[in-house]
Formats: sequence, structure tokens, C-alpha cells
Amino acid sequence: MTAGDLLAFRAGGERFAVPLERVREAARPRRITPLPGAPAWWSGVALVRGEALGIVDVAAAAGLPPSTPGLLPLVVVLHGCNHALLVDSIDGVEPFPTGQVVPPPPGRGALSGVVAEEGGFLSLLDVDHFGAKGEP
Amino acid sequence: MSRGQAPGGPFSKEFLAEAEMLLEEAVTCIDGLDGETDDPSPSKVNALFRAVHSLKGVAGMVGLTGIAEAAHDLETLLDDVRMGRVVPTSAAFAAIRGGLTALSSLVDRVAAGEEAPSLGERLRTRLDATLVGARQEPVPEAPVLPPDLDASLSDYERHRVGEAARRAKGLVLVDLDLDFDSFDTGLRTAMAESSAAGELIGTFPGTASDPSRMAFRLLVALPPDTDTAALGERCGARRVIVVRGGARPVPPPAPVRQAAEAAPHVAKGVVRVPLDKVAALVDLAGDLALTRGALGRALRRALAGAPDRSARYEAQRAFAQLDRLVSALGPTALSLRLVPVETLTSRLGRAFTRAAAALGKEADFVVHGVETEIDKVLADELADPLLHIVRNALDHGVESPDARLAAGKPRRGRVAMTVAPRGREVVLTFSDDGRGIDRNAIVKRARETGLLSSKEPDPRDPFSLLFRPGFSTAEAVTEFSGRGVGLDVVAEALARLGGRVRVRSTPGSGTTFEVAVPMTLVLLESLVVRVGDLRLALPGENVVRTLQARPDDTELVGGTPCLRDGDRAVPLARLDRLLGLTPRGGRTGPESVVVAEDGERVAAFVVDSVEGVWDLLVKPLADSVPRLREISGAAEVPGGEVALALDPGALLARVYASTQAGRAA
Amino acid sequence: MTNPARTRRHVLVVDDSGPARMLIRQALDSWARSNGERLEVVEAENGFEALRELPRAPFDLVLTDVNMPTLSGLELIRMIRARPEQRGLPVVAISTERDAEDAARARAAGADGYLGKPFDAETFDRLLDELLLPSRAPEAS
Repeated sequence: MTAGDLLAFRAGGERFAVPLERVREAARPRRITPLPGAPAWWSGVALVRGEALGIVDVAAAAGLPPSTPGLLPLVVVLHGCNHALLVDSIDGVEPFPTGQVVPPPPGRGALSGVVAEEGGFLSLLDVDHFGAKGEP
Repeated sequence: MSRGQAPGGPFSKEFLAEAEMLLEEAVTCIDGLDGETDDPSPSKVNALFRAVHSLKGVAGMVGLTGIAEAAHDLETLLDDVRMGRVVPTSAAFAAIRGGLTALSSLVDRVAAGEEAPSLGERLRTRLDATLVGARQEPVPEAPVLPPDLDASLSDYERHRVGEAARRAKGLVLVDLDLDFDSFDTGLRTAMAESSAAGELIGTFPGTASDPSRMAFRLLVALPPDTDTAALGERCGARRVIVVRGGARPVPPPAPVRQAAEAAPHVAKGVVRVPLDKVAALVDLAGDLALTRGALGRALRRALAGAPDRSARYEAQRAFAQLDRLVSALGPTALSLRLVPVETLTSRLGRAFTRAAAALGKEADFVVHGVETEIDKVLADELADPLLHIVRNALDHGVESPDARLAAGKPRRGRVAMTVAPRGREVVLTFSDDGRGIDRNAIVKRARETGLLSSKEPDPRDPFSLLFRPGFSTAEAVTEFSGRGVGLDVVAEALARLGGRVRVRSTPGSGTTFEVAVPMTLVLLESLVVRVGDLRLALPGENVVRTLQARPDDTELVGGTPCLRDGDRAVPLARLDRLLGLTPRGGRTGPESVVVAEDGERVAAFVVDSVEGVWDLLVKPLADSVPRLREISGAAEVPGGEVALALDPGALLARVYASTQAGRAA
Repeated sequence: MTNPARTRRHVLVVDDSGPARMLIRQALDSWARSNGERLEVVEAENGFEALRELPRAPFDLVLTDVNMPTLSGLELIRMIRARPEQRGLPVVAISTERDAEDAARARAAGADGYLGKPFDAETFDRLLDELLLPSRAPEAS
């Protein structure tokens, strides 16, 4: 993967990041409606700018306890796919970390790698893992 | 007998605190009025009047009749000044000051412990002595305002309207349509802005676009050549109606009548209908269409074996007629939802003002063609992409005041919006007089970012590159949506509405965004039901009927629960179980059932409740989002909730796959 | 619909003067006691607060001062009268008694009753009987 800038955010008390070029926008839809038949790490569906998007619960996808989104949940909408990531808060745009990227612990397929950083670690999310079409 | 307490009772402390505050306020007002003998500020005169009036009230309440009497006399004088019966000369001001001094001394005596202080004589006698020659007969004013508004004016307001006319001031009506949650802030802002720009004569009820909103109408007198559009923006107004231009003194009565006619109140043949009533009508039309379908099916069955051929023919003809009428009713009712595009432009105007302030730009937002009507739903859907274009014009188009001056342009920039119908489309343009976009620079940037490979030729319309994902990258993603979003989102959103966007630009002199969208959106009439916490929408054309079923309406056919529907048995399924939801427990009595068909199969579904029939804008859900295949999309239902759209074919297929009836049928 | 003997009545008192609100509340309490009525009195300091309070409870009566800064009592009455769901709500304008003209202005703005400040107990009680106890007018005393 390229070492461009990242958008870092928090979910389930941990820090995650996705490549900035894959981020379309941050949005606060009115609510997330549960989607029958979806796997547990899918929080549901939300209308963002008139578009129905599947919402991935980042915490649950990373093996943490699932989030319980209230009204006006914060989501990060991605380019080139039809879903958005449910997060707790956004840390901001950060340069790609200088530390060494190690493979994620087994069973955490949603992560492409983990970087140790001061006070903990930053998990890099594999945005295409959630069954979306990748960008060319 | 007064209910008030004797002085020295529990209210004396409060009385003193209040009286001192009111007197202080009054003195501040009269100090502020010093020298304003020609045209004293009505708000200061009013504040002074109110302070003395309140003092009278408080004194009366606690039984201090001597103070109440003196305050009454001073109040009468102030009312005369307010109403133009006393010329505000310096002698009149001196009299007012004298009155205030007298009142202060009385209050001081209460503070010193005196129980019922009073002036030896009526204050009026003293005041009148200094006012010789200052009284005048008030001049009756010709009506200027629309009749319904004129009828609700108080005497004072009518007097101020007349004063404004005499002093060749303009009169405008500032219409506000505010969210209930924040109406007081909005109203206060608009009142403060109006008072700052001129004189706020009165606040009247307006007509809200929606019963949950609060509408107000401010009557404001303005100095000549006030920019009323800019005032409207600052007030967050839905619109500003100029009742009377203020350019020059106009002799009544002819121009006065003209002004009244110019107000939109007298528009002929137009009835304003609240949106909820329109919605109710559209709902009824939807219900009627559903019933029509059920009637048609029942009729066909009933007539199949009818021996009387002419009666059969009559019934069929009457039904065909009914069918045509009902079919025509839906679109007609729907057309009532057309609203003036103004509901959208005023929102853009407010966002423009906020964005300009945030970006440090000075610019005006000018709108032409607000009478154009578009679908209410389309107006809502357009708001987001258009907000983006407006912010973009301010951010990237209009230069900073200094840069504009340096380029030889006026300091204030301008973004003009026009709305015009064109065939079945509505065209919205946004033209700024900013720095423009250099087409070569766009191509250069596209090549640098890899959006255009070196092999690709320059595109015919380089501006189309602006709308490609990745052209403007997310530079600053924050928790607030909208920032750092590229124009690609705008193009995507417009494409979803069946519209498109084009750009024209001249470097140095400005850029124009042209948006074209269909005038109405295709909405799907849907029956919305509730199951557990979920709302689910079924296309209206697939719904046969809804009913309340009792346990004895159901039976087992070949081991499958069925609903007796006339002479046939229809497979019956619980929608919650079918969708893998936790079934609701503790059910007794009749249950809500929806009978649905897809042309070949029919089944009945038990739901928690039927919410209603609405026209929904159903957004498809991409295949890549994992879910039950019976769920095809999502739609916002009135009230802001989201309903999941059900695919009737998939739903019926599942029922038939899982039941004996399916195999037996 | 309402049962005058048992229903708790909601009354909104609008006045920018604290002591005035206190006195009106006192008068309301004394009326309620002598009539065996239960009143829920809500106070608003200005017209804005009043407009905000109005949809929150099923008010049976509004008592408003006429002279208030920014949004006057007459303006408030005009607003109340313009909202369909509040059109039938009785409103009493309270003003410092000056002349019949003042009362006429309040009536013109849509007030159902007018009280001059200071008001006496009998006038106040009679007005409340009239506005809140229409169904048992002859027996009430």
C-alpha cells in the first residue's frame, strides 16, 4: 500500500486510520437503521446526501464490542464503494506513521496492518475488505 | 380594593429594586434622546414610555397610589410624544426630565421608610405648564399597507407607518419562517437586524410553510436606498416584500394604492394551502388508488359468474371510468406539492451569509426567478448539492476584498442565482464575479494528480474534470460534513436526481455553474408498515389490501397457516419471523395483516401495525452491502425516520419456498 | 370535553415584571382555592418565552401584560390568534388602567378580556369565572 496521508479516527476506544484518498467526507446522518440479514459488524443503513449507504461498525469489525449509535452518528464516507464507517470521533489527517507496519492479529481480516505508536497502536483498515468494489 | 400589599409588606424590597432599575432605564433613554428633537428615535421614546409605564404598574400593584398617579401623568405625556400629539421640542424633553426627577424623589421617600408618598399636586399640571404650544393635532394617515395587515395595526404602529411615509422612508415586510427549536434566536436576530437597519414598527404572525414551524412578519421602516435584499439575508428572511419604496416623498393617494397592490397578498386566483393538507390529500389519493385496485379484483371475481350481461357491462364501464378518474387524481394531488423555489433560495441565502462571514469574504447573494415552482421533495434533495456550489463560489470564486480592489473590481463580490423552467426541467445558475477558472490550469492539475494520463488528449470540456473524484482531494476532513468535499459529490448527487451540472468560466471575471434537474421526482407510492423497531415499505401497486385479522380468520391448509380471503386461502406469514427478527411476544386479539401480490403469487403478512401510504423516494441499496435479498433499498418517511424498501417478488418467493402452500399451489 | 370539576387547568402568565407575575399568581391561587379548582401556573418573562411555552401544555388561559420590551403583549396576542390550534384559547390582556381606549386596543388585537393594573379581587375572579367556568355559571359564587 502507498504511504500517503491517512485519516485517523477512534472507534471502540482504539485508533484506526484509512488512506485519505479513499475518504469522500465525514457526515452525520440522522440515524442508522438496522439491516436484517447483515453480519454483526454491519451497523445498518443510513441516508447520506440522498444516498442509501451500508454502515460498517468499525469497532465490531475489529473484534471490539459493537457500537451503539444514537441520533446523528458520525460516519466516514468512502470513495468508490457504497458504504461508510461508523466511528466515535475523528482525530484528523495525519502523515503515514514512521513506525513499522506489522500484520494484524489473526481473525482481524478488516485490518491491513498495525503500527505501534506512542501510547498504543494505530490499526490500518482495509476498506475493500467489506465486500466493496475497489477503486481502479 | 387592591389586592396589592401595603408598603413595607413583602413586596417593598422588590418594588424598590424594580423601581430603581426602571428609573435608571428611563434616565438612560432621555440622555440618549438629547438633541434628537427633529426625529427622536422611536425605539428610545418607546423604551422610555415602557419604563414609566412599568413603574406605574408596579407602584399600583403594591398600593403606592401617589407614585402610580405621577407615573401615569408622565406616561400620558410620553404617549403623546410617541403618537405625534406633542411635538418633541427641547421644552418637551425638559418636561420629561422634570417628571422623572419628581418620580425619583418619590421612590427615594419610599426607600427612606415613608409609607405613601405623593406629590402635593398632580404632575400633569406641572408638565402642561411647560408644554404650551407643543401640542398638535395628529394628521390622519392614508393606508399604505395591504388591507389585512392594516387592519391588525395598533394605533401606535399605524402612526409610525404614517411617520415613515411622511419622512419618505421605505416600508418593507420581512417574512421569517423558522424552526420551532430555534425560533426565538432567529426572531431576535431578525428584530435586531431590522432595528439596526431602520425602525422595527411591529411584529406580526406570518404564514408558516409547515405547522411545526413558526412564521413571523416584521414591518420595518428603512432609510431610502437601503439594500433590502442584504437586510433579508442578515435577517435570515424567507423573503422581503417592499411595500413602499423610500426613494422620494410621494404624494398620496395614487402611489399609495399602487404600493398596496404591489404586495403579493392581492394575487388573484391563488390559495395558500399548508403542506400538511396537501400531504393529507395525496395520502387520500394513495388510499383511493389502493382501494381501486382491490375493488377491481373483487369486481372481476364477482362478475365472472354473473348471468346478467348488461349489468356486467355497466359495472365494467363504471369501473373503467372510476379507474381513469382515480389515475388522474394522483398526479393532480402531487402537483399541489409544487412549492416556490424560494423555500430553497432563502436557505441558500442564509448559508451564503454564514459562509461569507466564515471565509472573510464580502459578497451579496442575488436571486432571480423565485416564483418558479418545483417539487417540494426535489427542493429538499437539491439543498445539499446547491449549498455546496454556493460555498464553492464564495470560497474559490469570489476574491478577498483587498484582492478585488487590486483587480479593479468593486470591493463587494456578488453571486447571482437564477431559476427558470425550461421544458420539463428547471435550470438553476450560479454566477459569481470572482477570479474565474483557468481551463489550462485544470488540465495541468489533472495531469499532475494522475487524473489524466499523459497519453490521454485534453478533454473537450476541461471543466468536467472538476467533477471527477479525486480532482479536489479531501484536504480538511472534520466532523462537520461538507468541508473538504469535492465537487464530485455534487455531480453524483445531481446525477441521482436525474440532473446534471455544467461550468462556464472566464478567467478574471467569473464562473457560472449551471444545474439542470427534472421538475419533479418520480416517487413510489408505498405502504409503510412497522415490524418491531423497523419500518418497512411495500410498493403500493403490490398491495392488495390491509385488514385486521382475528384468529378465526386463519386456518391450516396442508400444514401451512393461511388467511381466508373470500373463497380462497392465502398463505400467511409473520413478517418479523420471515426477516429473521425477534418476534414480538404476548399478542392477543386481531392483528394487522397486509395482503400483497406480484402478479402471479399472493400472500398475507402479519405486521405490528400499518403506518400509512406515502410517496417515497426510494434509494436503492448497492449489492455489495450484505443483507436479506428481500430488502432493496431505503427511503425517508415523513418525520425523518428511514423505512427499508421491500422487494415484493423476493418476499413472495421466500413465503412460497418455505410453505406447503407454495408446493401445493 | 374537559370536566371543569376535576381537570387541572393550565394558565400561562406573561409579564416582564417579577413582582407583577407573583401578584397574578397569588390572585390565581386564591381564585382556585375558592372554586375548588386545580391550576398549573406557568410563568413567562417575555413574549418569546410565552411562544415557546404555549405548545408545551394544553393551556386553558393566558394572562399577558401588554407592555413588554421587544415583543409586546399585543404582538403576542396577534401571534396566538394566528395559530389555528390556539385560536380558541382565552387570552386576557393586563395593562395599567388608563382609559377605555387601552382595553379597546387589546380587544382589537384579539384579547378576550382586559384587566387594568392594579386589579381588584372581584373583577379578577369574575373574569376567571367567565373564562374558565362557562358550564356552571349560575351555581358558581
